[in-house]
Amino acid sequence: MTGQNQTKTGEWLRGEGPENDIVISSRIRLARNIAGFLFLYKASIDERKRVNDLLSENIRKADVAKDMMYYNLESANIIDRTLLVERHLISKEHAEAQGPRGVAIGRDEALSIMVNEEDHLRIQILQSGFILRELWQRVSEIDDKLSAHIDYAFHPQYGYLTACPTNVGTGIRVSVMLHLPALEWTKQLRKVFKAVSKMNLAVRGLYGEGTQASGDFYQVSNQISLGKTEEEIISTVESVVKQIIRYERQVRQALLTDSRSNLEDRVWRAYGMLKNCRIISSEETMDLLSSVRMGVNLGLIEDLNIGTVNELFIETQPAHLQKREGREIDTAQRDKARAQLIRTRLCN
Amino acid sequence: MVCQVCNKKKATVRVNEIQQDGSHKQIHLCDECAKQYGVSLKFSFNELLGNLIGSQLGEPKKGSKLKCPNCGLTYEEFKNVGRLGCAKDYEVFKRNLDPLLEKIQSGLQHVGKVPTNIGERMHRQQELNRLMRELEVAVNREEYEKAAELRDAIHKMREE
Repeated sequence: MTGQNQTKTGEWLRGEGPENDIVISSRIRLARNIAGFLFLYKASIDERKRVNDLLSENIRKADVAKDMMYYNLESANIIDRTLLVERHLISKEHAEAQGPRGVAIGRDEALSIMVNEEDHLRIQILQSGFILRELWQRVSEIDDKLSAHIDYAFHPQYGYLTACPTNVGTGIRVSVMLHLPALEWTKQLRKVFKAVSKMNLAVRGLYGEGTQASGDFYQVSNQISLGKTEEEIISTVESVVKQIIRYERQVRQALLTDSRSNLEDRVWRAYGMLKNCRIISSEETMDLLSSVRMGVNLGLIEDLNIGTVNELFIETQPAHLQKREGREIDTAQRDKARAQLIRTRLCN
Repeated sequence: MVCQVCNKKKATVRVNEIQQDGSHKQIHLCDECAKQYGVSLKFSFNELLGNLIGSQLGEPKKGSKLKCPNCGLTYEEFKNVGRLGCAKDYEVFKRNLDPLLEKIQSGLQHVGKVPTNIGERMHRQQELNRLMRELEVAVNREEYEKAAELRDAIHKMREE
């Protein structure tokens, strides 16, 4: 893997964009398959290879973004593959799968196009802040450019055909990653999520399907992909997320006025531990960083940039630590390396 | 009874329409025509669709032995792995997949964007589908001015 992915983290961690105190990032992905080829589940190794070659070539030709790089995941080592998962550029399944597959990544890491994941193509755009409309426009343009070179499997009734019927139609998954510590602390999340599921939306953890929520991060996304237009789907997610943001803000304000000392204690204690720890697990890091992040957002901590906090969430993940060390290290060594990295970042 | 719109398929839905002069008119429709027709039947549509879903849910009796000639997938296999093997499966297993899609999705007609390179006729049909969907939404939201504009646009497209 080349240098660009080792040191600099992606655009989506900048901590900028609308509602960035609560919305970490917005993401839209489109699932597409190529006409005339079997879907992944039934495709032989040879057919997968042909799809991989065809798509990597045509992604290049379509010229969808500046300086796109294509990574062959079949030959990449496990640390590099996990690194891409930690950066949200590929899914866990894509990293752990076997056979010919890859991912094309734009320089700013906003755009990533997975080849031979669950579908032949998964076009994803991910940026910081609450900006679904802009993302839709951009990813739709990219999709159009690709479809000038690639014949998509499309059906007049069912729309874009996908390997799983949960994605058929528009093939769209719209998701927003939210940081909701105040709702979590006051144990009001369950109530919120119940309302969300009534709107046919799903809530997931930091790394998507089947993952635990950690660091008080939650992804809200659509489940319906057929029978509604992309704009309708985006509107639904948008309006529900707006409500959640409003609740989280209300609770944060209530905490500030009603139990300021407790809140300050929690925030400063977390900051102190992170600045002074010598050994720390990934889990504890996420919890403490979550408190610090809210402290920065509420103006309690003034000497720390939100982008630094966002980056630490990712840089302290196992593969990122190992990449930094330049070798595989075990859990005990990672906990030490993690503590050192955090101290260096926070004390400078 | 045969559907009074397409005159081909079996009519499964009976619609009572109230005419402008107050008289009633009864129409018998098949599933597909009912769905097309449903856009203008703003009040009975959801109820009508609900009945359709109710009658189709449950384990399909036929089709479980079906095998796709293109990819070799059987419906049994699909139920186990949750993945389809090729684009043709949507046609081969239509009887089984449609009820499933009705349950997990919002209807059986794609109304979103279409690939740039598909033919003009298909583009027009998709545009028509999209307008009809927008009309349905506008009616549900009681945005009647917008609905009237959409209705005119649909009429115009159909006449062209």
